Amino acid sequence: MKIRTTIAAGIAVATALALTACTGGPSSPAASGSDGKISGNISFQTWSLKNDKFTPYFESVVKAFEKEHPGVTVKWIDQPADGYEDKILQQAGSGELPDVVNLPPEYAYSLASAGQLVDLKKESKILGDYVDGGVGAYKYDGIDGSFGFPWYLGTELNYWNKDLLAKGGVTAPPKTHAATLDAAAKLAAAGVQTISDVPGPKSLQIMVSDRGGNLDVYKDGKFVFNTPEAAAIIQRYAELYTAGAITPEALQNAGTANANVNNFNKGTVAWTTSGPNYIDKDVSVNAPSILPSVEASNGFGSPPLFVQGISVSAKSKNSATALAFAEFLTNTKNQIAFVKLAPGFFPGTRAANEDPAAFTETAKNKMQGVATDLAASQMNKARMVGAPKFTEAMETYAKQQIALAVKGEISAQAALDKAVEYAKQNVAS
Amino acid sequence: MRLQRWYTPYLLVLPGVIWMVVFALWPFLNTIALAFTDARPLRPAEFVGFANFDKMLEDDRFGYALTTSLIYVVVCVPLLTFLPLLLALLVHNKVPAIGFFRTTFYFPVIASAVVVAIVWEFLFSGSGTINSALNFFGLIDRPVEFLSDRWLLIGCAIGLTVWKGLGYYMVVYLAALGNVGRELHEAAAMDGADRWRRFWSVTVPGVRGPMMLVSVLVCVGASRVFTELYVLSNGSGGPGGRAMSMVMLIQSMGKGLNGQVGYASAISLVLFLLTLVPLLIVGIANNGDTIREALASRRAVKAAKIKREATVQEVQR
Repeated sequence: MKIRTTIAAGIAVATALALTACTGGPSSPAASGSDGKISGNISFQTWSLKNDKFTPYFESVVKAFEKEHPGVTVKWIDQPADGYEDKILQQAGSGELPDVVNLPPEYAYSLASAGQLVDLKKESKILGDYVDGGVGAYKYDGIDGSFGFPWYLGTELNYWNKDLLAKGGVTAPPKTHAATLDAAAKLAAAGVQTISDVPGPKSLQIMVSDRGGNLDVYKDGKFVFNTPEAAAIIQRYAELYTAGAITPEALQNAGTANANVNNFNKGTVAWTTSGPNYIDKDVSVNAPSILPSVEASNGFGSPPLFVQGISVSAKSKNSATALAFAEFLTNTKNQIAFVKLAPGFFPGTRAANEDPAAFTETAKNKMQGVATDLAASQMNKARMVGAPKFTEAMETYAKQQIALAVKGEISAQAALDKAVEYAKQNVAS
Repeated sequence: MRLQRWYTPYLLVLPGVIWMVVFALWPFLNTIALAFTDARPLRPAEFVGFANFDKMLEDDRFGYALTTSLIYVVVCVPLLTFLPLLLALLVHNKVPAIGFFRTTFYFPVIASAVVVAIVWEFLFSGSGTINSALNFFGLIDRPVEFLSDRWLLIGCAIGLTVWKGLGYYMVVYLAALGNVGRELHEAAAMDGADRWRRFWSVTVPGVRGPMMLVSVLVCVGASRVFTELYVLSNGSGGPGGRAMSMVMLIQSMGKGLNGQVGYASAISLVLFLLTLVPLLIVGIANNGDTIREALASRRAVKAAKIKREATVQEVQR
């Protein structure tokens, strides 16, 4: 009887210990095993870049680094496009974050606030070689330091279906967002739909800037995107929905990525926004039938700046090697070689951007060349949208509320107020 | 004969116990523990008492998700309990090529829920087959909002769940119908019972056990619906997220680097408790006779005891 009681007690204690070990607490930062020498094995992770185009590039970069530093081995891992955030979370949670990792600024913010990334401002001597906008994307209010080397940068352009515009009597793509909404009303009267997305706070920032104003998502410790200017734009969307200028899919997909691009590819709407490589990467592959009708134009207002960066894990056992590889991968020579493979994107170092001719490759389609030139012309005024504390879940919630306002079930101001309240209640302390 | 050691039975059950503790009991207990914390990924968790449950009461998305899941249960349970039975009765008859029809009705079960939902999305989207057909025949000026109106979206998802589940439960009933004696039907017919009467008085009681099993399975499945609503709304839950189910809400709250794991766990706990309620009702309905018998026997014992005491008192007097 005593033995049974002991066994039962043992199981209970083990269960209790296991439970306490899994309540979300971060593991303490590992003591760095690095002795400052560039040696040993490191892992390097990219995001959906293992394919015929990029694989030879990464293999050659890894080989060159290993040749430069005999005895060093770099293990390259690539993760699929879907579920990257969950993969990063799983790796960070289990203390297995790769030594060198490709992270967008919002993911890097979460990891930096949990002490999982190396402060490059402190550890790297060459951070000044990178473009300010890119470095700034990896600096966060409330956290001292900089947590990513800018790797490649992009922006967003407008794409138009000229045939659909012509059907509604619109002869040239509108130059401003306000003109686009007027054109949408005109096209709706001719039975042509223009819009298949509802604006979120991030796109409202662009729309407000196009009207000469300024919309902050987060300022002085508060979420402040519920302004009358933003509400007026949503109200206009509601009117356009009633007029038939906006597809039902815009409401169905509120808060999901790429819904407007998918509808544009189907040829059901006249306007979408997308990255600079949309023509060669997407339209020519997934919707070749509409390719002759597609025309690109500059993004509205202050267009968004998209940054991809390379960060170094704070738990790396060979942090000196990891840092050296991150610097090597993002040096001017390697960045130019990389963006040559990705038309429409721009390198993250100052030196590489001094001579755009060095990385501009001939595009497969004529309109891709136009899009690349347009992207280059607007990079100077592109800026980061959103805010590190404004999470994807908050953007999704805001879009869901805005969809209700567009449908006419709540007012535009109420939608924004609810979204601000939700953000306020759900922000991580 | 050599006696086994005292720990042999424990060793035999140990693999099963470990499996259950690691993959069932521990995650369940951990979810309960997390429900009372403000856990977020990569951050230390703190005990917050019932704060997550208080938050739930103020969260309109929780209200919508609860309503969606309850509607799903209320509509799906009767539909998926009786329609497969009718279908099974139809294909139970021995007519030529009946195997073909049985296989055809079972096809949706084999297909992946995600694939089927994508096909339904093609059918019901703004530029989908149904809207195009209605437009072609001049019945509508603008697309019907099948997938962007809360109730139509839930209706489409329920239609998909029912269509996909019919074949599976039909097979369960087919197996049960084989046990309903032909002589019972013949006897009922001789007593003047028509087909409808025979269905209610012979067939339904004959498949009562499987019917209860089906209703329990449908009930649990419907309260945990995710795929249909997720795919049909492209993960958004429709305008305002008002067509989200409980599981969709748990997924959206708990996912990602900023996921609110504590709050998502609290919703999971509520979902678990809510799932127990219909199970309890079905359990009571299923064991009604047993419960009645037990109560009657208890009453009889009590009455006998009172009677015995009265007799003893009378004898003493």
